[in-house]
Amino acid sequence: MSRYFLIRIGQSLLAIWGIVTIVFVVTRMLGDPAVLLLPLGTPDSQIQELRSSLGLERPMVVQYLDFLGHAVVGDFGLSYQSFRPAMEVVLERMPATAILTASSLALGAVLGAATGFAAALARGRFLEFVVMCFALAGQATPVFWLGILLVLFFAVELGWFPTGGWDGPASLVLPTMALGIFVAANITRLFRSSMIETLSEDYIRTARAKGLMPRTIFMVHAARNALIPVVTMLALLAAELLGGSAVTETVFSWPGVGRLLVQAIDSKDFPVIQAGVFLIATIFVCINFLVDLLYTLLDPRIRLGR
Amino acid sequence: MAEPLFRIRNLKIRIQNGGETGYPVNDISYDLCENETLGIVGESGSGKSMHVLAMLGLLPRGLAVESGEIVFAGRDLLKMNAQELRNVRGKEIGIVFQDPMTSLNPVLTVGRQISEVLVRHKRLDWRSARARARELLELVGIPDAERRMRAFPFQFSGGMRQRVMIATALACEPRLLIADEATTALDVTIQAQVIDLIRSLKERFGMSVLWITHDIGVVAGFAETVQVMYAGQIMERGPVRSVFYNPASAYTWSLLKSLPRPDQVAGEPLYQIPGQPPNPFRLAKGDPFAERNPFATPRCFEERPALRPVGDVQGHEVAAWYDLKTRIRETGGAE
Amino acid sequence: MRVSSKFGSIAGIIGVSLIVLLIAVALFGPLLGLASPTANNLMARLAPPSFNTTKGLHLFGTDQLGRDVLSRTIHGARVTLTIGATAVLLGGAIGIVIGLVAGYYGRWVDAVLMRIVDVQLSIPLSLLALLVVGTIGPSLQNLIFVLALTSWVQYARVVRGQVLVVREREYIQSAHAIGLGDVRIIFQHILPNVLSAALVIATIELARVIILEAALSFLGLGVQPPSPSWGRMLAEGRSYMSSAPWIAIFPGAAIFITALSVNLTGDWLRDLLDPKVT
Repeated sequence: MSRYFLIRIGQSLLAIWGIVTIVFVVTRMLGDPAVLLLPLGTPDSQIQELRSSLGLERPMVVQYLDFLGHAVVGDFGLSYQSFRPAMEVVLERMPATAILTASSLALGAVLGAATGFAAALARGRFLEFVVMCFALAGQATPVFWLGILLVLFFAVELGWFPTGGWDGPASLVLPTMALGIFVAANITRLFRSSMIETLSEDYIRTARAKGLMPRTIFMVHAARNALIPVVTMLALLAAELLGGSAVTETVFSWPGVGRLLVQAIDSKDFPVIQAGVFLIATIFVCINFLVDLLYTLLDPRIRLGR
Repeated sequence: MAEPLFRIRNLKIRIQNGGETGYPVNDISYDLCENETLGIVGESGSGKSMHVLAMLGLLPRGLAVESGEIVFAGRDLLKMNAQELRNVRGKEIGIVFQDPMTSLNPVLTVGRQISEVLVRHKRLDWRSARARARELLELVGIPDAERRMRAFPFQFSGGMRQRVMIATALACEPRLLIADEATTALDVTIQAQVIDLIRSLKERFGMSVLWITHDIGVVAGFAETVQVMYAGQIMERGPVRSVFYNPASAYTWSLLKSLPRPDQVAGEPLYQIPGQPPNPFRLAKGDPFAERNPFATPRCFEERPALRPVGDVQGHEVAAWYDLKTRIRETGGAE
Repeated sequence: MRVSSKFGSIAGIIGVSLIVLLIAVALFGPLLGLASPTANNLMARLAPPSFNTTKGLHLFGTDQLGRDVLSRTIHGARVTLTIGATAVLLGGAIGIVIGLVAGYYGRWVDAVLMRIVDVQLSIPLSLLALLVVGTIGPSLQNLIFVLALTSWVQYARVVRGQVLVVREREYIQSAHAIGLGDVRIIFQHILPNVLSAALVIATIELARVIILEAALSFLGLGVQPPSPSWGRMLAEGRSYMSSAPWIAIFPGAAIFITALSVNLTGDWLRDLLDPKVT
């Protein structure tokens, strides 16, 4: 058990190291940062000066180790745009992304669990058909298109909510709906199939043979087992959303990390890109690790070890 | 033997598969008395498990009772609504299924799975239900019951899990215990322990036992009455000794002949029943076993035999047109 | 079981028909004699969808430069399907080979390859795509490269899992015994066994890649103008949402239908082939 977690921690660290390396390699692929930093037509002598001040003349290995050393403490240099520490620039966008992630996950989980449960119980009936049609449609709808349609209808036509930006809790409604529907569609399908699979298990027959009430059978005996994959899926979606849903945030002009990254890419603000990717990937790795922990809590077979 | 505890009359179960209709249980009738132990023997597809599932209202999708009645303690189970049936299941009828690996819920503690029956049927609060569940675990021979209450099924061995299943089935002191291939998945030594356990519990609780198995040998030392089923029909039934020493159905005879015996000559092959197991969608119009029966007479292929008494042994009946002993003599055995 | 599998195959047939229809539109649509997808017509800017032919026939209306939205949507199908299919095939080829090698050779080869897979899986795929395209610059080749890069992992994981099972089968053991070379065993004897799983992954990946492509194009990091792409059209149409909603609605609907038909086909294939994908 503890050995398993040591291995998992090792894997997580390895993954983070891999990410830092990828970030290093990708940004070096761009060519000479000194050339990119300075305006076109800058004399060579000036470029050389900057190169040495940035330490670019040192061997690649040394540069890499230096980069690693700074990355570990979250130091990616100053943003080319605001000349503030890049990590700071990224971190101040985190709350907006976190709020949106939390609200859309909550909406998606509740909606998805309810409809998935209903579809599993209404097996073979019209209700199941309707729910599954909605889920399929929800899965195939690009979130940003849905976002645009929601803005058009609820913000532009009806004027109920702001079209974008952060302007009090009302601004949260439309982006939450867009992302929440996407989350719900995935959860619905997964929960339904997992419920149906669970309901055909032998232990459900045992539960029925014991004369238990259907409520107990569905909620305690079936749902507890069927929810295990759903929880994993939710956590993975959380990780994906915490990474800043770049497109959704752009559609709603949401002041989150995703939009920041898109802007940073546009303006070639590499320290911010590096800091952002590093932060998001680290969060992602940590959540994956937590998912494994959670999994073991839900499934005693893993928790107590075979 | 006293009052019949339950009575099955003309039970027919239909299976629908696409356009085809089949009858995995095809018109069976029998009684089970209070305190009786009845062993039902048959291959898979004989309808032996199916008809108890019907009794409990647990038939899988696609299967339905077409006609008949199952009267348990004076009430027809087939006429009950879902709630009435739920009140019988687990309370008056306990059942132990075949595979203890999959029949217990993997994410609930063993204690919870036993206690919940008591909470449901005996209206106990969880505290007293747990106390009673602990006693039950001790009763079925699980050591260190207090600690094991908090354990999960995967932490138990197969035999121990089956004991948990038995404790669950017996929690409400049912009048009938059904063991559906309850020892099939277990090692032989464990099998014997579980059989002994059920035998002693039967004495203690004074209940009837319906023991369903494909292994005719298991029934021998344990049941009072044995009933042999094939293709959804009862081929033979009667007191164990009489049926074993004096089988009247060619099918019973084949089952007994295919058992390995200690006095068997080494190297001598076991008897194998020729042909294919029955298909519920293609039922013969005559005796269902006729096409695999070396002693079949022309009439066997034409007409379905009804149960008739065998000799003068009380309760020994067979569904066959032929007289087995005569036929064996006439054909010189089954070679 | 029966009811839903019947429903599943009807849904599958709908999905396959839609895909065939989309491919037909992509192939033959440009032959319909519509206006060129890149021809500006400032006289007919923002014309709503109509059968009116005074400003030229614009069934789906025109955009802010007076380009025919129907024609652009049709050409967008070309672009999207080409990119999606190429990326999925490329990612598939890479992923299958890596999965085969990892599963077949096991030991350290497997360990190294699977750690690489783990690392890649620990970066959100959309972020990886954003990072790479953002740095190497948007172009058609780069886009396909990045999409393939995000999709090889799934193939590799699943194929490896299948190989581990197949490897132990007797006919593989006997292929070893009669001295067949590794390459021959891998490609002639193991590969056919993993193809159905790979096919199911391909449909899942195709839907994902199409949406990701649209998202990248939407952000201006995908297909570059003037080449029509659904994501790009959505981005352009966004500013005219209140005055000319059709500019964004039609390409969005096209993405929706494409993703839906691919998903339907994928679900059906999964039921049909029933590989253990997850």
